[in-house]
Amino acid sequence: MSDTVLVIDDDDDLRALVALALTESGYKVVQAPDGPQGIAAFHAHRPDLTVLDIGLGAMDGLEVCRQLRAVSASPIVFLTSRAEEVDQLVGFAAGADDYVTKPFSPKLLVARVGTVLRRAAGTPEESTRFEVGPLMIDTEERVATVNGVELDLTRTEFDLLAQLMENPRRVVTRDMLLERVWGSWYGDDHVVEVHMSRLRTKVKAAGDLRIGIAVRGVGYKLGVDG
Amino acid sequence: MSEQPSVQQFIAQRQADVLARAIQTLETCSEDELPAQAHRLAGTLGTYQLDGAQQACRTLEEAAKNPTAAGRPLPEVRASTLEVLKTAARRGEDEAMS
Repeated sequence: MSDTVLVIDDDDDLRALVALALTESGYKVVQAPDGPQGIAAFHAHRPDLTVLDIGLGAMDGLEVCRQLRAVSASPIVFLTSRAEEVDQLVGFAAGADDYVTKPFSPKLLVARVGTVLRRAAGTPEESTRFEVGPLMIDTEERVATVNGVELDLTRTEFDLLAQLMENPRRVVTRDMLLERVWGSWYGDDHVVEVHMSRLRTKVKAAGDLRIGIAVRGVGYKLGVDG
Repeated sequence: MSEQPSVQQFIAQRQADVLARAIQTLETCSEDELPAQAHRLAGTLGTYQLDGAQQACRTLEEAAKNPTAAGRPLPEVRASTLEVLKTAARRGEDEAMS
């Protein structure tokens, strides 16, 4: 069965083009022209992924993203004219999994959608449980805890933590993280830093534990330091 | 990156309509709306592979955001942007007729 993608964009021309490109690539597509209708369509169709414009008018895409994130971990790809770094950071902070700026190539967008869906569906072949100090992660159950307290992580944050915990004494390079967590990544590696920062904040809040030590110019190591 | 034939055909078929809507928007929107509209149109026009029109809208967006740095009055920049879009539309009509 093909994956369902919800496209929320108030620009009829772009929405139609995105819908066609996705349909031609084998996806089932549901469309909505604004935030409220997008949220209603999300609940009605339970899409596997949502392509979401930020500049939607009265209820913008960031608010739609927050509302969807409150009820679902289904991936969200922002599609927006806002290309400034701060806009991308705000988008990721709101819970986006990826970010495509306009103008864009429909073919590239379809490729990014495919990558995010594969990442979301992926389960490691050798799923197992890792414990390092007060941290525990079970990649089969998709559960991570600090001192027994479950962490509320996005898929990306969970996969980042899994990479660090599977290699607790080694530095994991940015390139390795990009390849293993994001798959075919077309943007810059700043995305690793953004998600690592959010992961650190959640682990710190849950267990007063500092993780994800940056090794300048190389990558990160777990570095559990309570 | 070349698009799928059906997508490329769709883009070609709709370019004239996309340009017509962009022209209408720029002719009717207020100066307050101009930065946001020019920004939005640049994204749409670029995605529809109308590169000259996209660049003109980017220039208009910058001028609308910072009129003193534009070097010429905003109405003049808006008029020249419209002319770029109308020229692109006429070129498309000519190509369709030939």
